[in-house]
Amino acid sequence: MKINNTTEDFFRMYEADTSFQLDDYHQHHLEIFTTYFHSYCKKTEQKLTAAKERYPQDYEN
Amino acid sequence: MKEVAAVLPGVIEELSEKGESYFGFSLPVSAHIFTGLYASNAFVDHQMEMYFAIEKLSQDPSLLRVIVAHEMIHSYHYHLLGHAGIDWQAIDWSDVRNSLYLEGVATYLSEKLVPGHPQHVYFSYEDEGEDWLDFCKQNHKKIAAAFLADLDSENVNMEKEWLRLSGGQHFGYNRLGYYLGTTLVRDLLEELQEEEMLKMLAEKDVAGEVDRWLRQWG
Repeated sequence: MKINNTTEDFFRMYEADTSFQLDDYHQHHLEIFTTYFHSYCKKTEQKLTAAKERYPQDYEN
Repeated sequence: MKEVAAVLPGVIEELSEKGESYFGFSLPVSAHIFTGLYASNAFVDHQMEMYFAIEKLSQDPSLLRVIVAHEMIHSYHYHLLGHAGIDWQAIDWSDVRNSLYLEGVATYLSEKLVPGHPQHVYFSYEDEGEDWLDFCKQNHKKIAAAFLADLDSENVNMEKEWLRLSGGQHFGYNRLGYYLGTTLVRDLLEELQEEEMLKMLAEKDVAGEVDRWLRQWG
């Protein structure tokens, strides 16, 4: 079984740029986000904004 | 997220070894780890690949083992059904009775793969949830009857009401389908070998079995 760990990418992109665009991370990992947004999480502006607001409080956990 | 991301790959490796020794083969698919949008924490897609979204997961490795075991068993189960010659095109994914059985298998076997937790942890994947399980045990008949009644009604989103976090309108407790499914699997194993039970979706009428099982309580 292979492990495709994309979180290092996420952390790197998140920490590198204060105007971090979540979309860039999603576009880099279509192998995940095509499925995720198609079947498990409808992609809306509202959810994107809410997630970006919540990340800081959960970041170190 | 940082802490979860640091421990999760090790937990997946560990469970991969446990799964291989339990089922006798290693999974030829990937486990994806990502940051999501606070939706589902973990799921397996129809290609049998596993997905783990870190933003809401617990940092506690022992709790992570339970949810990773649950998802990995889904993937193993799909592979075993494939080996048994299942016709995936013929499976009605919208029939909640199939979901009940599949979730029951994953929940029941996760306890075999990572034993030693309080029973409710295999349902909630967190320390909480003891009252949920107490409610299920005390109201088993009522829950089964309500599920059966909902099956006959065309106005209920069964998947949502019985399996999702957003459901649970009837009793104020969500995901009661996981309890029903796990109890179903435990009862099936009174009569079937585990191997046969795992192949049921390929070889038998699971929906019919679920109906028969539910009807014993009227």
